[in-house]
Amino acid sequence: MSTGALHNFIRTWRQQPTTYFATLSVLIGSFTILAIALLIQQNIERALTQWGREVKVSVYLSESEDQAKSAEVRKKIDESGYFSKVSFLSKGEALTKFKTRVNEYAPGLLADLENDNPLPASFEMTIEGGVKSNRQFQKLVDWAKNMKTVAGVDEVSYGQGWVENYASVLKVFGFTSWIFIFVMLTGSLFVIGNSIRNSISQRRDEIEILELFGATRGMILWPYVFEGLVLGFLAALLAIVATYLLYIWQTDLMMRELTFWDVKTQVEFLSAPRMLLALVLGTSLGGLGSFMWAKNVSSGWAAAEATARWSD
Amino acid sequence: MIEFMHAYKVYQGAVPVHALKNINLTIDKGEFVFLTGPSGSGKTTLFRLLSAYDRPSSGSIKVLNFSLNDLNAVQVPTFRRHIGVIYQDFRLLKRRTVFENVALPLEVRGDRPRQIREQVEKIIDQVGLFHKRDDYPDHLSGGEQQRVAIARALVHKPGVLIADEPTGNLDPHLAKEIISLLDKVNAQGTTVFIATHDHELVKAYSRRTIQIADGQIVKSS
Ligand SMILES: Nc1ncnc2c1ncn2[C@@H]1O[C@H](COP(=O)(O)OP(=O)(O)O)[C@@H](O)[C@H]1O
Ligand SMILES: [Mg+2]
Repeated sequence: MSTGALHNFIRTWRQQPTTYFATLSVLIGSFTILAIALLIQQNIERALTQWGREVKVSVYLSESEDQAKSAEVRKKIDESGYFSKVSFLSKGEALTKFKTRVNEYAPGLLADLENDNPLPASFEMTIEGGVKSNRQFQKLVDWAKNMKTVAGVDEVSYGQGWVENYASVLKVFGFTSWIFIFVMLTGSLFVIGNSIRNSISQRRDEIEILELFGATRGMILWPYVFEGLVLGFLAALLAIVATYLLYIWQTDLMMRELTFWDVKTQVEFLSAPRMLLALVLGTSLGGLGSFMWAKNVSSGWAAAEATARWSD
Repeated sequence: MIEFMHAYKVYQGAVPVHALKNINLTIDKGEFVFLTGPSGSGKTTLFRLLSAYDRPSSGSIKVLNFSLNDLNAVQVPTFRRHIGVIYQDFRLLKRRTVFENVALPLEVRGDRPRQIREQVEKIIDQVGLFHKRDDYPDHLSGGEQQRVAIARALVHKPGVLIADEPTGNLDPHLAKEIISLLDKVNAQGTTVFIATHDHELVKAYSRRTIQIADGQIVKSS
């Protein structure tokens, strides 16, 4: 009876346009906030992935340059089978590299460093295949910690500060956003449920008649669930459109204000799978919400129960 | 076909109403039977039990091959699809047209749209409402609404037709026409059971008549 359900939906929509617009607006609002959360999450993930692809690890050796010890360290690095492009940077090379860099900014500043080189020798390398998951990141952290205890190693660096800040932001963001998303979804469920309850109470007599002429519970339930599915789908679709408009507006604004930062290439809009996820989520939320409120609508004896209530 | 055995119905409330008391009754397949009695005697209540609109307080009821006392959730709709009922208050769907109202019993059965169209148009024509098939019930007179209810009760060719005051809102001429229609349906093999307090009508047809008073059968021919 899907065409019947569609008919029914259009009829209800026509009969109560204001109720529908109110419900739809609230849903679009809350779905838009969820879509924005999804957008932020996607971009943080992307930034981390980009870092993970080109993560550089440096192992700094202790001050006393010791051939045997550095060979030992090199062996440890190779044994891990975890790195590619391992290269050795001696104290002298490190200084040259440092100087050329500094000279670009302040020529002559480092002239007297010649005799007293404070820079340590180091091994530089990249991670084979990059860091793609939390587990791999943890492995890197553990390896670095372990490596620091090896004789002759002074420090291991992989951009900890940056990554750890990012990770803690992500953690906080993750936790609060889960609470937030939970509240939003529950709220949406109630909004949908309320709208469906309205439709049901307006059609009590209709439900009784359908039962009396042999409609099954499923047949009676379906139009309401369908109504919820359409409501959820429409709200999700329009929320994606709203999010897109917000995205265009905000990135344009930033491009104008912060001309040095190419926002559009750095901040992406929702990917196709994520949009699909949002649509599926919205639609199922609509169906679930209406089912939860409509599931008791037909016991098979609605008419008799109504008469009993009436005579009390 | 239809069998009541020691059926009772009590409406619970501040003051319980004993609407039916020890009803025993058998109607065979193909019979045409009138149920008469004054207003408030229990005719509608008896029909409610008969159509599985409501359940008896005690006793047993059998209709077609269904034992109404122990119908489960799946059997209730199945049973209701096998009978035709004309309710005293019509019970038309206000948001649906005449055509859609009459189509309901075929729709719940899952008939094809083309089949539905054919059968619905035929029966609407028979009750003389073809020109109003796209109107809504609120735009019809009481008599017209009653004829929609009759068409809906007959469209799926039920084994039993139960009609609660089917001519209550019709002028005598139309009433006769409707009863002849039901008579024709009966001639084709459908068992017909009609509640009425119209003595003229009962007299005119001289069929088996069951009289009820104060919830009890007082005479059964
Ligand atoms: N839902 C109900 N609740 C309480 N009493 C009822 C209800 N329906 C009918 N009655 C009572 O049951 C008795 C029989 O009513 P009814 O079956 O409608 O008679 P009839 O159809 O012959 O006029 C009446 O006294 C009526 O007031
Ligand atoms: Mg009555």
